[in-house]
Amino acid sequence: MEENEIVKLAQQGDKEAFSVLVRNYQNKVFGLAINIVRNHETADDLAQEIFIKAYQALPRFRFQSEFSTWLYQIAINHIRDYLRKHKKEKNDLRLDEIPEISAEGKEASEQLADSQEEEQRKKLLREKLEEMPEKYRLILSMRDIQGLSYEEISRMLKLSAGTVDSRLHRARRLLRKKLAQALGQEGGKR
Amino acid sequence: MNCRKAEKLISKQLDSRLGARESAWLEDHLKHCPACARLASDYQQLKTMAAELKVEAEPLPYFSERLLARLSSEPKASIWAAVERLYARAIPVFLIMVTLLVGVLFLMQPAEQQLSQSEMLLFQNQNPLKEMQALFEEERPENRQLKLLFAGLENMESYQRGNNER
Repeated sequence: MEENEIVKLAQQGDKEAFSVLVRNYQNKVFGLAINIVRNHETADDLAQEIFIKAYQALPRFRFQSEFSTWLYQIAINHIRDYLRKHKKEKNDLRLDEIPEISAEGKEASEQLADSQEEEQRKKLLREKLEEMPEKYRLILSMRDIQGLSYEEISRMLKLSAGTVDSRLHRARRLLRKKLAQALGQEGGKR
Repeated sequence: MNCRKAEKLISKQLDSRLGARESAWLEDHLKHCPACARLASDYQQLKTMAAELKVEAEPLPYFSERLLARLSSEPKASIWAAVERLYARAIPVFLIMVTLLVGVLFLMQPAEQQLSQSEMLLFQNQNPLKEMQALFEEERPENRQLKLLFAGLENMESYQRGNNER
């Protein structure tokens, strides 16, 4: 069955049809959320809420775009709202949190030290990403972390390619500046 | 200026969005500008590090089942959500109506009335009678004498009428 037919059935209240759509898109929607909020439970909650919003808004879907584009727009808007509401909060339990290694451990193995250094850099990068304004954080996550295409980002954020370009540039510039400051280096040449 | 342009192009280069001319210009600039070359290397490193942050994970188990259960328990559409939607639509409509009303009231304002000369004088806090008096004083002496003559005749007529009555 074509996706549009499934969507039409779901619009008529067919929950089985809607669950087909959910199964088709749950990983992508969850992937969007987790790569921005970086917490499994929060991302799962967000993904659930996104599908609930989509279900409620489904009667207003007019097939003027792909269903996937429409769904991702709902997802991005919902994640953006979440980021705005939880600006100052920090997730205490992270999926990829690295436990501290003792000083003795560092000396014990150079290899371990290298990997720890890399993890420290990643941790710093995550922290600095979280400090970014929400619009920069979103676009960096979509492009540099998740590797979404320009076209996908343009459609999801409803921005022109030129605006995606300039926003990405500003976001990268700010991130580099923040990292340079944190590393105690010269804060960029300009 | 060139370095600022170079930085923008470095960002575009990371996304493989440079044209041949821009690419050649940037390459040439990076050869001669160590600061921008360092910047390009920093940005490339940042992009690599960011890509390593990608989390490949699946939602918690029974995602769709949990979702369907939630959908069954959720009210179809909350009244407050409908009210909120109505408000959101009502605000621009209200603003347009207010603008139109103000415009109509402005257009329907009565035209400014032409003031008479006396009103103008009153408006300027001057006495309009003063002007009349001045006009009267300006009258020719012969007119004044005629007026006096008529006034005298009137007095005589009233005197004679008084005598006749007696």
